[in-house]
Amino acid sequence: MLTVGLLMLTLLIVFVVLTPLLVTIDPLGISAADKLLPPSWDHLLGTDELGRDQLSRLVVGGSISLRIAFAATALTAIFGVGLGMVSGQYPAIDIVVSQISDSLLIFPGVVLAIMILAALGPSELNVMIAVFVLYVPRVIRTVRAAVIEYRDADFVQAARSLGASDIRVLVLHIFPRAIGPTMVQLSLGFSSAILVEAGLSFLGLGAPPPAPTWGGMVSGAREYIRTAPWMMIAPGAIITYAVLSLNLIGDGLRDMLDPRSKSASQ
Amino acid sequence: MGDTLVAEAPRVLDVRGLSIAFRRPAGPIRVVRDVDLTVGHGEIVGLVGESGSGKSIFARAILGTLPRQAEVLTGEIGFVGSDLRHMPPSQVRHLRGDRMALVPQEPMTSLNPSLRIGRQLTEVLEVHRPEIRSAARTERAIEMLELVGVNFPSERLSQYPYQLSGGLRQRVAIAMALICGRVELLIADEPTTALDVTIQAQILDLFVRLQTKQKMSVLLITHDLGVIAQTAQRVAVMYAGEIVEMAGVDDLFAMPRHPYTRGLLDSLPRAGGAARKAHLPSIEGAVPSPAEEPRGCSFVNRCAFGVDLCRQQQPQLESAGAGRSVRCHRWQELADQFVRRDAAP
Amino acid sequence: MSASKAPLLSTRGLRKRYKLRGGNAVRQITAVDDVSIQLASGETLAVVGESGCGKSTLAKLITQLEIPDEGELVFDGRPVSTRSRRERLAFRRDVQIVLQDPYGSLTPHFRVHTLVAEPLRIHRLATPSKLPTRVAEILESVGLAPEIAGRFPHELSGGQRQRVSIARAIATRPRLIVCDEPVSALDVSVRSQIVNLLLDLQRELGLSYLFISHDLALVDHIADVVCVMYLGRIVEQASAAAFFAAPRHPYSRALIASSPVPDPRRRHGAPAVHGEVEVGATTSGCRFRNRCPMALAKCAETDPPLRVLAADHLVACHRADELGEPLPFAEQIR
Repeated sequence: MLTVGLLMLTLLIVFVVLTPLLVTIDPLGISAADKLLPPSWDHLLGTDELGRDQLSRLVVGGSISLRIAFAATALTAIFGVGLGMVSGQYPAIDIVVSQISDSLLIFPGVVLAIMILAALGPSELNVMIAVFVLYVPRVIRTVRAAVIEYRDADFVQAARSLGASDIRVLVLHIFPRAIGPTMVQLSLGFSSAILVEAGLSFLGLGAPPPAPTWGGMVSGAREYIRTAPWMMIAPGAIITYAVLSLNLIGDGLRDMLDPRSKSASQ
Repeated sequence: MGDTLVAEAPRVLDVRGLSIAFRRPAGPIRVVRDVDLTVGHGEIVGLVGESGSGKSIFARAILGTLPRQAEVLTGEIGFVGSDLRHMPPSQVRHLRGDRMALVPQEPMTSLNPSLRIGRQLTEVLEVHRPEIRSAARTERAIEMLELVGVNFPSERLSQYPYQLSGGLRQRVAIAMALICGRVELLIADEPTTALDVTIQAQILDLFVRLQTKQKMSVLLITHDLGVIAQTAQRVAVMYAGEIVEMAGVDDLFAMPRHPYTRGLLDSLPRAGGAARKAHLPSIEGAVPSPAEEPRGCSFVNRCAFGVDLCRQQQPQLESAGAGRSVRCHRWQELADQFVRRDAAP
Repeated sequence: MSASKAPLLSTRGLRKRYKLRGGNAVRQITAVDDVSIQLASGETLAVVGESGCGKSTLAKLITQLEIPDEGELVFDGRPVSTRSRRERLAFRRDVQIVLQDPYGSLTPHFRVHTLVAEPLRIHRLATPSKLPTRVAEILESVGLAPEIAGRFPHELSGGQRQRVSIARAIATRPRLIVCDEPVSALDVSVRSQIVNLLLDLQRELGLSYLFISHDLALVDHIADVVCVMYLGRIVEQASAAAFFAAPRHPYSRALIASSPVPDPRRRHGAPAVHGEVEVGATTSGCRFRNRCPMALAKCAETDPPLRVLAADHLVACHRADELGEPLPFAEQIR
């Protein structure tokens, strides 16, 4: 599963990086004559309501969307796991971390993102920060819950009595137990990053137009779903594909690190 | 078979040739193989076995609560004259909790943590004895708690399971099993394993009192030979899904016939100064996986007396004197080698 | 107890309190109360008692998994609490623990090799190149084939798992192993194998054991000294021979009388004691008095101190002298 997921993700990245070398149509080029064309040899994925080539928009948009999603997910993973472990282990730190992360969870996701972007102004970096703030509390909670569940487990007691340090116990003995649920949160975060970015673009708070993004393309295609379904299908499919590849990587990592879940699913 | 001790008594439980298998992609795995077992009226029968011996699955088959991936392959489960195996599940459900009941191992998890004790007890009556009025139900619940030795019974009704100790929870579980008043067979699956010894002694005493005073029949499933010796009249020893020996309790402990039974009894530490810190006799190896069904005797790999015949041919359960049977090719030869245990100093 | 040898481990007045939340009230429970024990090098001290008696807390205090609120722990002639960080690590090397549950006590995502190598890595006891050989040696010394090293815990039987736990414990060449009910979760046919292994290791490596158990027949088989605990206190402490020949505390006698003897000709009559351990129920006097068949008014007033009844025999009971000679344990059990 891990290999399949990694392969799919690599393919996606290759697609996003290499296609611009083959398809040279300007993603921003407007042409009233070509609007809402179905797929053809000239426009492999058809055109949108302004006659822009869908394929080149998808590819260029992909690099923006993936950049945002990856960067936000990576930030979330690093801070979420770190803070989650520390706050699960040390009650004094937990009070501060949990208070802050729980209060962030109170806000409905998109409202929080809008608040952040309204304060910071629309830009790619700020979209990243918004998605990070939105998802890091969930990862903190997930990791923290696992640490609390296992910190008094027999195998942790056994490791401590061997002389294992707190860090060793947290990283080697406890964290692998949390990878499964953490990966679920992260892959959800990754897909949401794409979707939140889409929503924000729709509100004019995402990466500033006319820069194409996958989310922006999906939301733009809603009005034409009956007359020009290809506009929705291509970016929708690629978002699904990206999320699926990440989910597979998540599941694969969990199986690798927790042999029991693998034999149970077999 | 091994039940001549109670040949005249009507049988509450009469299991014949029961085989149970787990469905697996690689084919069914038989975890209970060709088991015959009877429980007479007012009798405590002990079923001893280690983990993986199939004893708990056997109990669940009788109760009709097998896990979904398990199925009965062959055999009959006779319960007071009717065959449970060919009875519709809805009818078996009516028997469960009414005429036969389970006392589980872990009363912390078998009682519903979010319901008061009183509610849990009266619910059984609501299901099986709807004709009893609500006030009478509560009265009966108090009566049952008193019977099983719960102190302050009326106060207990409004308590939650977590407020009770392990011993009290197990008493409540027994009260739940008995509350319908028509229970003929109590199946107790490791009922005292989770309890402390002084509490275990109290609960075992309760079983014996129920049996002698109320003529209750009990199938007592345990891994603990001490518990069996203290309570049962007859014993069946299960190993790797088969009954390897069955005998009256005195005979079994004084003169085990099967090498496995013998090994189990010998491996128990004996109190005593001279032998302190000496090696205990032990059965080498571990219980075989049920996936590898043996061609010969299932115990042969761990048996000190195994010969070629044991590896090639499966032994049958054969009669070995009054009221006992044993599944071993060599039991007669070995009978001379095995000293009576009570003759040892 | 054995005064001839200098003790490897001794504790003085060990005390540990926990907060217990019951409903709205927060009560304080003294899980281990004024416990003083001595364990000589190469000997086995058995701690016997029922749940709530504090035996597992005592194990955690001795292995420094928990810090006592009061009292002193002396290992090898030096108080443990004052040691430096490095010395604490050395203590961890010298004192190991084997837990009851062979399923829970091994990290599930580690292979056996990693599990057994971990103590060697932590204490830098083997260079990376020597590690596989050392692990194989240790596995062999607990009776496991080297092929086991590549397996995960869930692929092993209960007995094999417990052997892995023991392998981890002896990897650092410790001097004391705390065994917290090491065989009670195992199958009967496997128990004696593990008991024999522990006995062999004790002989070969000169190990001391603090052996926590509720199985009195087993304790009689392996222990040199026996301590009976009830609600955090030691109620009786004696050499195994003296204890099993004539247990003096009513609770000790109740424990023995309740042990299910594997002999149908020796069935117990009525239960030896009624009622149950009630944590935090008694605040004054003897803690066992609610269940004691011979409690007097005096027992409710003054807490009986642990006093010397005979050489090697301490009892905390006002009426210990009045108890008649009991049947020796050996005759009760076999």
